[in-house]
Order: sequence, then structure tokens, then C-alpha cells
Amino acid sequence: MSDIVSTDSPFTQEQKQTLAILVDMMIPANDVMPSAADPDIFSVILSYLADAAEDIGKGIAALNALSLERYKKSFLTLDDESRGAIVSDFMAQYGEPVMQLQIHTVSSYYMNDRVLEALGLEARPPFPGGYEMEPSDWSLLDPVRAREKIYREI
Amino acid sequence: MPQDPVDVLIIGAGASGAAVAWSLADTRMKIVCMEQGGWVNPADYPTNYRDWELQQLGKFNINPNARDLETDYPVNEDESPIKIANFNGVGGSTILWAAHFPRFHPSDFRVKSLDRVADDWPIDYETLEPYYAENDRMTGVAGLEGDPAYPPKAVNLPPVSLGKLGEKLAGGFNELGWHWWPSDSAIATEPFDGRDKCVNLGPCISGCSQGAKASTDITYWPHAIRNGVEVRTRCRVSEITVNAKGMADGVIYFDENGEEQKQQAEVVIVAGNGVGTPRLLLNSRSSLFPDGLANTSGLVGKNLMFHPYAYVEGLFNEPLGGHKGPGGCCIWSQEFYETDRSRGYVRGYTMEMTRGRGPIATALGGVMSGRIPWGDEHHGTYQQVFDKSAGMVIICEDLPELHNTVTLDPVLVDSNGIPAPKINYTLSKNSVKMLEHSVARGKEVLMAAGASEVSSGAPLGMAGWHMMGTARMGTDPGNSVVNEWGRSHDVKNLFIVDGSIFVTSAGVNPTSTIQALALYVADSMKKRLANLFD
Repeated sequence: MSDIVSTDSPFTQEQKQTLAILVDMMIPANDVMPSAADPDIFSVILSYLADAAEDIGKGIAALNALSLERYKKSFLTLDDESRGAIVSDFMAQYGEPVMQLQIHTVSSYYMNDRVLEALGLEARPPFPGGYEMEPSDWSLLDPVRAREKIYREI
Repeated sequence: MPQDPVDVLIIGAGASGAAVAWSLADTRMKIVCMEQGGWVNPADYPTNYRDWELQQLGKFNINPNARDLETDYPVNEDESPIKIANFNGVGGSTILWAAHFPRFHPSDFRVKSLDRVADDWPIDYETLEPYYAENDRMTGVAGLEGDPAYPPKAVNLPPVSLGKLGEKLAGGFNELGWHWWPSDSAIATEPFDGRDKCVNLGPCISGCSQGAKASTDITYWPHAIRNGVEVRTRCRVSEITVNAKGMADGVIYFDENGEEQKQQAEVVIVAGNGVGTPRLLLNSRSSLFPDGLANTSGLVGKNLMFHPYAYVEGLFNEPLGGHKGPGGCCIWSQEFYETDRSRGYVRGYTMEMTRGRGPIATALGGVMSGRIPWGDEHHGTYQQVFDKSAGMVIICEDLPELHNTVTLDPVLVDSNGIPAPKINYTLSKNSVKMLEHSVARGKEVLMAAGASEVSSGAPLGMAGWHMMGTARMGTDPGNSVVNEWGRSHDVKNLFIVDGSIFVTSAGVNPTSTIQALALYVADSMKKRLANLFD
């Protein structure tokens, strides 16, 4: 038995390039936040998408077909404006692969340490640390305490 | 191979099964509880992991069809706008519950007398009150005494924290002069009965890694087991069997290996839920009971009640710390609980404030609704929304209607080949009007609290947590399935203790009442042990 741990991806290089463009269009970088195509984040997206590789592959093929039909070019060779137009139409037409891509892009992005820290959150699971809460101001209840009972007597 | 006969066989190890087992344990009878699921390891709960928000969509999904574990049974819910939420395992649905723990009100037991709808219960609040109190002591309930919406009652733990979010919303209620109160919560806010105190993890509804939430695997069961009750996990009961005299004599079940087994018992107690229990009774057909066990009235599986839920959410212009604190338990309002016919409907509802969403849920919800765009504006819009939303779910009283049913699906079966339940349910006009009223009031209070924009939805689809009424209690055998202390009218050694025996649903979460009823039925049995079957 081989002891080599396989790192093979179910996606071709071209598919990965296409996906990187798509996730960057969805969540681009700005001064503070990284792009979803950031290598640390993108690798997680790809790992989640692996289970849906067949659907995703079909989706990318359909995207390319749309690009060829409209611009006579593959999606990867389009300029940004043309890509934007194609993707907009594509997202409206192809429910399942688009849904998978959206869910896993969002999930992978908003689990990333840098993203969470930029949002002011601690990059950790809720347990075991939990969260401290500020003391409650129970004087807010004073007007309610002052009311008569509001339930019906039987 | 037949097992040794037992005195009492309980089917289901959830909220009611645990309570009835614990109470009956002091009789020293041989008691066995069969549960189709297993014990849940708290180390498996999502909040132990970085991808906790994603895991909530998987094996800890509240919907059994989505969860699709081997221990789950499928439910045909195509003909219902409200989908089932449950969990199968020791602790039952308390594993994934929010731990809201309100009692019913005195008026909830007298619906027909007061409002000329549905039926009165054969018991009243006073009858159940000592069992509510006992259940609170076993569970550990966080709250605050003095709520004007309830008769006086003791609480045994400090209330859950308001947090900035709760204080913000409380301000809105005060602005309008409306009732609000910290929610009665089955959450240990201080160490309680071997459980550590809540550390505000957030998503209680995917299991409490801390063990502060009162799921019955860590409340009643350790005590019941210590007192001699045996819990047999991965045992899925397919049928309750009867002898020639029409008495239950045991069950047929499938063990973990899928082998069919027989267990004899002197007394059988069903503690499924409002769907699982009628499913089992309808699957227990015989020459004596051709329409299903205990179904002479024809009411097994009828009168299914959910609680129609609405949600209302507001966007505020400041961070609210909503990811901290028990996600479902904060404050509630019962300003619109009791009937006021001028509102266009009868009965009422409870507004239950919820805390905020996590980072992934915020993004997914925002993207799917179109509120948060993709592209250059994504980050800016996300920042406007994240940790700045607060809102509520509104739980409306449902009324029993014969056409809302649990039946057996003619095709769908579980992994053991047992026919699965099918739900047929429609919202009544009363519910629709109540939902409309509740959404309007919800928006009003969020605006009063300072929300800049509000959104809403009703009915909530994935909100069938509460299944009630499908084997209701009553004194008339022609109009009920069990009597006023939970015994089948038809089968004198068959008892039901879960939410299916509810006559009406009230406008609050049912678990406190389910467990109080289970303790009451157990106590009724203990008082009649000498002539239990008369």
C-alpha cells in the first residue's frame, strides 16, 4: 500500500483559474479585507467544493459555452467588463453550482483568521473560551414591574 | 430472542421520556427506556469547531430530512408550509432546542370557556403547578420573579444577561409601554446540579458544548439511571403489541444491527412527540385495533398543531454584540398574549427576542436575500449589517383542526422499513391574522428601539419544533385518545406523556408543559399502582 498522501484536486488548472476569478469577483480585496481568491482562503474553498466537483465542472463548462457564444472567446481570456456581464447572466441561470459556490465561498471566507480579526472577532471556535457579557441594567424593568398583572385569572 | 419482561417500557428518551422515567424510578419497578438514537458526545457539537456555522447545516441540522442520520426517520412534509425540527437521541429534541422554558398560563387550559374555540383541557394550571415547580427544580431555570404576565412562581437561577442587544430592544418596549421580561431559560447561569455555568457560546440550537443548557441527557437521565432505569439506545420500536384481552404486552423493535427483537412489558409509555407517537400508534395495527392502537376515537394523528412563527429583524447603526449570549433566550414580551377580539383573531402570541447572527450566517443571509451584494460593495455593505441586526421570532398559538394530520406515508419508510409519517397541515385564518398582527407589532417595537430598517417573514418554514395535539387528552373517550391522567381510553396499560396529548397549544414553547405533564402522569400512576388498570 502506498504511504503517499494524495493531494490531487478534482479540478483542472483551468477550472481553478476560472474559480479564482469568480470568487474574486464575488469578494474582492480592499484596503483592509483580503480577496476570496487569496491563496489561504481559496484553498479552503476548493477543498469544500471538491464534493461538488462534478456539478461545479459542469457549471464552468456552461460558463465557457456562454462566453464562446457571446464573445467567441473563453471566459479566461475576457476583459473584466465582459466577465462581469457573463457572470451576471450565468448566476441567474445556473442554480445549483452557483449556490454551492456562493455557500462555500462565503463560509471559507468568513472562517479565515485574517477576515475574522479584521471584523474585530477572535479567530477561534466559541467553545471553550465563550464570551464575557456586560452586567445587565435591570432598572430597565422598572416600568414593567409597576404594571398590574396582565394574565387572565380563571 | 425475547428479552426478560420489564415492568415499564418507555419509548423515547427525550424531554418527556426522561421526566417520566425519573419520577417512576422511585417505585423500584424494572424500567427500560428504548431510544432509536444514541448518546451525543458534547465534543461533537459544532461550537467546538471553527466551521460551527457550517456544521449547523449538516449533522446537527434541526430538520431530520436534511440531517438524514441513520438514527433519524424521514418525514414527508411536502404538504406542510412548516417543516419538522427534531432530534433523535438521548435527550431528544432538547439536544437542539433553544431552551426557552415558559409555562402555559391559566387561561391556556380554558380556551373554550374563555374564547369559545377549541376545547378546554381536562386539567388546569393549578393541577400542573406543583409539577411545573418540580420540573424547574430538576432542570434549573434562569429567570426573574415578578413577571406580571404570570401568576407568582419561583425561579432558581439568575436570568440570562440582557447584553447590549437585549437592552436596546427593552428600550423599544419601554418606549411603547409594552410588557417585556427576561425569558425563563433552561440554562444554568450559575453552576447547577453538576452542570457548569453558561459561557455565552451563542448557538444553543446546535447543542451546548459547555453543558449549561438543560438537555435531558444531562438533567433527568443521570438521576434516573442512578436510580435504576435502563436506557437502551439504538432500539427503534416498530410496533406496540397487544394480547387477546386488548392489553399492551410489549413491543417489537429493531436493534442497532437491524435485527428484529421483542420486549415484553407490563406497562408501555409512549414518549415520542406529536409526530413520532401517532406514527407508532398507527403502525401498531392488529385485529383488535385495525385503525391503529388506542384509536377508537379516530383521533390518533388528527388535530396536529405547530406554532406558526413569524420573524422580524431590524438593522441598527451600532454594534450590538449579538454573537454573545444564548442565541434564542434573551427577553420576551407577552403584551399581546391574551385574547382581544378587536384585533381580529382570538388567542395570542409571545415575542421572543433573538440574538444576532454569526459572520457566515450574516453573509449567507445577506447574499441570498440580495441585501449584501457581491463585488466592490460587498465589504462596505457587510460592515453595515454585521453585528448590527437584532430581532425576534414570534410564536403564535395554533388551534386544533381535524384536517391537520399525521398519517402513514404509503411509500416512504425509514432505514428499518417502517412506514414514515406524512404531514398535512394548513394555516388557519385565525393564525394568518395573528401572524399579520404580530409582524406589524414587531416592526413597531423595533423601530421604537431605533432600527433604521426592518424586514420580516411569516410563517417561518423551518420552524416545526413543536408538534402537539395528535393524541389528545380528555374525559370523553369519543373525543380524546388518553384520559385526564395520560392513560389510553382503549388500552388500560398504555400511557402517553409527550406533546401529542396537548388539547391546545398556547402561545409559548411547550417543553416546560410537556415535562410537567409527564411528571403529573407519573405521579398519577404512582398514586394508583394498586388499581392502575381498572
